[in-house]
Amino acid sequence: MTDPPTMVGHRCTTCERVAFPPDPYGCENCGSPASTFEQWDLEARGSVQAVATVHRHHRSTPVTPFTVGVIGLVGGPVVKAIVEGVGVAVGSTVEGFLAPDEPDDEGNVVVDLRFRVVE
Amino acid sequence: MNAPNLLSARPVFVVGIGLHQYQRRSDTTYVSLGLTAVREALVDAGIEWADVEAAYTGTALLGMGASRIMLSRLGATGIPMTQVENASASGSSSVAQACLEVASGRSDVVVALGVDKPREGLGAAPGNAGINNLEGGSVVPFTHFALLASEYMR
Repeated sequence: MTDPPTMVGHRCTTCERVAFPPDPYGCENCGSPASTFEQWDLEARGSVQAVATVHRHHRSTPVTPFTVGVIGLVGGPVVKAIVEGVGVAVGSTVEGFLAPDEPDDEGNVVVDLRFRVVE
Repeated sequence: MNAPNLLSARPVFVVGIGLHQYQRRSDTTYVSLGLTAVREALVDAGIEWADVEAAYTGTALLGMGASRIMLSRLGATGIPMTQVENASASGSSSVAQACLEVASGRSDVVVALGVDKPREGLGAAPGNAGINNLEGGSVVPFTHFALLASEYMR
């Protein structure tokens, strides 16, 4: 496993749009079917485009308060994810890391891709 | 004063049709079912998705918000999408809405789609689209809107 982890997305071979997550249906830019996609590895690094801190949530996890960011990855796609740490702001450079999550029903280890601010 | 009879004033044509075969419930998502039919109809009509100016999705069981996550996979062209629920007549009601939209002159090319599949429990349709994301359950609608506001205020 790489550090920061690699995000596996797809690239449309027709219009070259790169997207995350990989999609089984078709390209949101040109409409080409997913059979024309190729796997595309993305660096888990980008900059924060929007940020919101949640103080009340309908589930016990994530534990409040937590901060969600809209992150423009250096490889192109825009994702939403939890951003940990203080001082998260629009324009912050962030990097992905794997945070342990609750194991699933079969006892498998589950990790959550979150982001944190890097200097 | 009599209202104009739109359907006699401007002709409306069915220029293409498509179908995903009816089948027993399977792992095939409703998105695959609907996209198969729409792609076939576009080929049958000899037009591109970019030519389509509006879409009506008839469905009784999928839950709200079924259209965007499905039809954006033909290209996110920004057209208005409306979901029609009218029990077993949902598909034909979406055809009626599409005909009226063309007859009124608002659009020249409209897709009418019927797609359905029994689902587990309640919730919105995108949860059954087979597409995962990083945020999981951490971004509920008001958090999404807070992020949009953050982006807008930049």
